[in-house]
Amino acid sequence: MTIDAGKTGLPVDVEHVGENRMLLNMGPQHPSTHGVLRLLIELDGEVVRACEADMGYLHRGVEKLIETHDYRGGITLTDRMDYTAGPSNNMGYLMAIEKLMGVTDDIPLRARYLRTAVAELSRLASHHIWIGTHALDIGAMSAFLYSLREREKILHLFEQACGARMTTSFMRVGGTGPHDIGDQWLDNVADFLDGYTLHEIDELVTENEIFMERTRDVGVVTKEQCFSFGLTGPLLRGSGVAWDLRKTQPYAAYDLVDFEVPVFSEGDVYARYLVRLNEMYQSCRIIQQCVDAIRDLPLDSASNIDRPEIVPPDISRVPVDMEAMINHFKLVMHGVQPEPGEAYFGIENPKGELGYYFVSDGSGMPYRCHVRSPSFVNLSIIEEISVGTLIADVVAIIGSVDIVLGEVDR
Amino acid sequence: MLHPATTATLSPKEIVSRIESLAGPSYEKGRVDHGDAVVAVTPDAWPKLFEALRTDSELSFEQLIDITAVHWPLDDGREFELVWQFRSLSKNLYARVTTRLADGTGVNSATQTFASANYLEREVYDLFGIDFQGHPNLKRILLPQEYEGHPLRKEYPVEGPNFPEDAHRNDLFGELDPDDFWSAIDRAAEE
Repeated sequence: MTIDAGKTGLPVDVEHVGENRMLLNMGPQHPSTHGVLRLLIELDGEVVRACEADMGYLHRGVEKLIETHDYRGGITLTDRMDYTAGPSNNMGYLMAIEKLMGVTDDIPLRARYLRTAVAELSRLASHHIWIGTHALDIGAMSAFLYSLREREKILHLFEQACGARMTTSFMRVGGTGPHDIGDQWLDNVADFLDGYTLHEIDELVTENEIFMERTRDVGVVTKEQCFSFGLTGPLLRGSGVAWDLRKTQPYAAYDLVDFEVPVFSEGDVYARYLVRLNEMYQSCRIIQQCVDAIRDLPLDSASNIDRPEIVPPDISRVPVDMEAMINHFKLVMHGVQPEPGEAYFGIENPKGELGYYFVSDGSGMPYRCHVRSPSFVNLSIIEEISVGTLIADVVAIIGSVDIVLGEVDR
Repeated sequence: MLHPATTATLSPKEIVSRIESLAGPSYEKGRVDHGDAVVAVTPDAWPKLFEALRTDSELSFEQLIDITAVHWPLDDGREFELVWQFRSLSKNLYARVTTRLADGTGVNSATQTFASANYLEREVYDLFGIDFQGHPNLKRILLPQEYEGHPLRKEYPVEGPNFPEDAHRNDLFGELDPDDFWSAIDRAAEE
């Protein structure tokens, strides 16, 4: 049997397939690859002997595009990378710019709490997509429906806060930008947390015998592999490394809220499931604390940094105040202009460490912006741990690594 | 179970001086930039420095979290700045190590020490055209294999190489001067 692999020249030797071996193209339209990922798998019966990932079907050149926009314009490009957790991507981008401008410590408390709450909400949204599709891949249908119902409520909260559901472009450099929220939104978040039914999914999946059979001792990632492959996020914490940037290098308001980092040492698919599930319970705790903290702040507390060269003035002042008009004009035409220099900032995204590396030449557009995307780095482990497993387990492994192809390809 | 240090065990300055002693004669300069240790070394430091950074008892950079490059086309002979980012999970440390390269030259691959370098170096090769010597499978990763050019180089146009020059022209009004424009508007109003 021959499959035309084109000119891709994959190391799975398509020309010389051994006797009783079969080549299988999994994707790019396979539902369990969670997007346009193509795996070329060499099979011996049902056992995987070699695996090669082929990606780039969704490459849009985001890094090149960010170089051609001002710093504000890049925000809209970031939430199209990990589109399951848009606000969290925006936040990492903004905080990298703030680090580059040296204003990280001056961000008002209100903005820090709101960023934390929104980042945790997007973590819940992202994990709901993951838990639903992962359970669906393995054959547990109902969790998917329960899961997307809860995610819908979160997207509705995003819509109330900024007007968009997935590609939110939430917040601006220096604070929350125009997206400040009222007491009504805080009430809605509190109502959501009261009626949140994560325990239903927990009861459906966690003790499910079929699910446990399919995931225990499958796709084991050792601690050494985690180090060598540069893995971050739940993969790392499922293999017994208690590394979480929210704890080890706190940003936003994570040093002001109380939460735990779930860690499991088995390293298999089930351990990664438990890590993410427990993370969701912790996220609820964080959101509740942030909502309470924002309520305790004075009503007129600032949500943007008080620096005219970073934050545009209140729009109602622009037509009547000359200073405000000049300020607004300059920010719209030239954008924020960091001093020449470079900075890297990483946040703990739902999928792992999302880092932005900026090089500024002093102009209003980044000279270079590199995105360290967690999915891209984490994907490389699939080729390693798939070998020797059954073809059906590859589906469980892809699900447990939790990649989103918009972020892999950028 | 590995529990990382809650705060960094070394200050950025100490990290820089530690890398300086590891790099030896290959060390160029080091600085603390926005609170991060940044060290520039010459290309001949690699690949020995990878292993040294990983196994050093004070630094123990277990992870190579990122490789990228910056193109400075005006800097003749050192156009490409390669940037490696290392992280120690046990000691909660971070450092950036950079190397300047001329166009057409390469640098030794990190794949012998860090498996994460496999994909990351392929990405840099794909988008910048930098050769990594000793990489087991150096080919394009995001773009098609038959693609020409390296898009993240500064001379590469953002619209793509085959973009027609007059594509931005407005065919409705073409090259009209303002007088012709208003007379065209007047004629349209009369009709």
